[in-house]
Formats: sequence, structure tokens, C-alpha cells
Amino acid sequence: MPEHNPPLSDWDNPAAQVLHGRAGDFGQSQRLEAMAELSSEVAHDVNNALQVIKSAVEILRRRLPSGETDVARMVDMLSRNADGAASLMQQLLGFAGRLPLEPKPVDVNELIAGMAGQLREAAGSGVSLETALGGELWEICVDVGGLKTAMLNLCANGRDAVAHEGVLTLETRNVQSANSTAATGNGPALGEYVAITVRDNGSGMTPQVVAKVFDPYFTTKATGKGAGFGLSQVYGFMKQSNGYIDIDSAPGKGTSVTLCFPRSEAAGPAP
Amino acid sequence: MFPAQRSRRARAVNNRILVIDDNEDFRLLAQLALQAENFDVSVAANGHDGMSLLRKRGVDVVVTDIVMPEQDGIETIAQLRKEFPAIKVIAISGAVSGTGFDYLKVPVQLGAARILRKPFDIQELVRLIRELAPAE
Repeated sequence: MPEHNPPLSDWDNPAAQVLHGRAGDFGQSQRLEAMAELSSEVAHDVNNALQVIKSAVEILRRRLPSGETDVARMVDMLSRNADGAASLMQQLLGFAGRLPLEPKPVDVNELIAGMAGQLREAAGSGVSLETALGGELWEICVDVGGLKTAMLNLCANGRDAVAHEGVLTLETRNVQSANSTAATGNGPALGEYVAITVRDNGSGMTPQVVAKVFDPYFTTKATGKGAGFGLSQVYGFMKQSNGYIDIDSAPGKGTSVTLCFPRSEAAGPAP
Repeated sequence: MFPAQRSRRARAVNNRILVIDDNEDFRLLAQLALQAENFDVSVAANGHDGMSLLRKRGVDVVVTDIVMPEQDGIETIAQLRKEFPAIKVIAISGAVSGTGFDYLKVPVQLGAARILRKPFDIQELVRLIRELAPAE
């Protein structure tokens, strides 16, 4: 994908190392990085505040005299909303690339085969899910849960883009990064990556939409169909995994989202 | 109450717990929750005060926040391991992982017995303390 590499100056910015292709606009990279920094700065204080609220609610619940049904209902409301806020913080931390991950050696083709049912479900009924898994795929070192979530997110987005009777294609292949700036230590290292592409034949996106797809809360879906955190979390996960994302999309021509993970240090194809 | 539960609760009675956290509200709530479970609880606002208190009176389990002014939880755990290696430590933090750094991995490397990420359920803290506290 050499034609999609961003300009050299982008590699000075950590976020630009994650975004490639039309998603790799420098302004977008700066904006995302600023949002990610703010999210992680805020997280500490919000988590501490939530800790106090959750603890107080739990103590109140235990001290509540029986028969106080209205008060008990309000305590439940507090508890439910505190849990909702905690979940939101987790999503923001996912976007900021600040979740604890446990990278392990992964054979991506094997992982995909093992989650066929989940992927099928994410693609939804009426949408054809095809796979084109590359042979002799290199092993990668990545958090399995994070990778599964990322692939399911991409499939769900593809499903919503094609509506019914569309086609989603999941591809894997080995790729060589053509980034000539690797020698300076910036950008994805020159070398070998495993690419996972989710392609749809749906409505596609304008460049203006592509420029915002990683923003938290940004969604083109109808109210209630998506909170706008799916691709934000993919962005954070790729940043934490030292990988990069390539988006190729145009109105009426569908969308391809490719996640590229560096080949594992342990050379050779996955056993 | 089943006999096994009664026995477990009885063993925890009067275990001495020190909670170190710079959040005054959390200190009060943790104290209330743990006293309700019959633990003998003391609190400190930072690692320095916590260590001073420890040197005056021993405790069985220390619950310490990580990011605090004066003396943070990392330094406190390191001191604890050196001066009071028998004391069990539970590290708690609302701070998040940075690139290549996890606020709750370092305490484990230093010997913390358990970690909890804020916001956690206060009853989970009670459960962990019961696991770690020595039988009376």
C-alpha cells in the first residue's frame, strides 16, 4: 500500500503512525491524539469519583430499611448509572489506547476459523460473509480479546453499510510495509505485517466522513443503532498494538478497512 | 448462615487493615464498609503517613492507592516489602495504562498480592481482604 503512505511529517505524530490511507490526514491525526490524551487524563479523576459513588451506593443499599421501596429504586438508579458511566470510561480508554492488554502469539486464520459463528452473527442475516484467508500467514503477537472485538466491530459496520443482500469479505494476507521513513524510527517499521481486511460492497463514505470515523461519538447510523465507539476502540487498539489502519472508501463503491499488525518477532508462518 | 460462612467470617474478625488513599471520601467509605465486616481499620492520606502509622502499630493487610501526593503507592509498596515483608498488599488505582506502562503491573512486580482497578465493587475489596487476612 505504498500509495497510501502519509507524508513524512505525519510520522512525527504518534497518531499518524496508526492511520494510513485516506484516514491518515495530518489534522485528523492531531485531533485524535489530542482527544485521546484528554480522555486518559480525565479517566483517573472520573474513575476515582465513580469509586466513591459506587461505594456509597453499596453501603446505602446495605443500610436501607426494608419497605423503603422508593428509596431502594433510587439507589438502584444510582448504581445502574454509575455502572453505565464506568462502562463509558472503559470505551474512552479503549479509544485512548490505555486499556491493559495481554499480547500473545496468534495465528489469525485459526482465530477467524474459531470465531466463525460470532462473525456470521455480526454480519447479520441476509448479508453474505465470504472469507479469503491467505496461506502461510505469519504469526502476530496481539491481545486476542482486542483483536476479536476489532474484527466484530468492522463486520458490524460493514453489515450496516450494505443493509440487506450485501456482501462482506474478510481477507487475510502477509504484506510488506513500504514506509521509507522507518530508518528514522518513525512510522510503522519497514517490514512485514499481517493484514486483515473487512471489505463491503455498501454505500461507501465521502472523504469528510472518513475523516471523522475514528472520533468518539461519531456515527452515521440511526439513533439507537450505534453509539459511535466501535471504530474509536479499533483506533486505540491498533495504536496500542503497534499496528496501523488503512481505509479505502468512496461513495457507491463500498469500503475496505485493513488492520495491519507487525509480524511476530518469532519468525516463520504460524504452525 | 451456613457453618462454612460462619467460620470464614469469624477468622476475619479484628484483622487490622490500613487503607491508604488521598481521596478523603473513599477513605471514609472504605472504613465504613470494612468496619461493618468487623475489621479493625485505620486510614492514611498518603504513603508517608501510612508508613508512619505502620511503624507505630502493625497491620495485617494494606490497601493502597497508587497515584497520590507526598508519597505514591509504588514507593510505599517498595518500602513495605523491605520493612514488613509479611504484610499483604492490595493495590488499587483509577489511573490508566500508558504506552508501555501499567499502573497496576508495577505493584504486582513489587510483590502486591492483589490488584483492583477503580471503580470496583467495595464487596470485592472485602472478599480479597478475607482471602489474604491471616486467621485469628
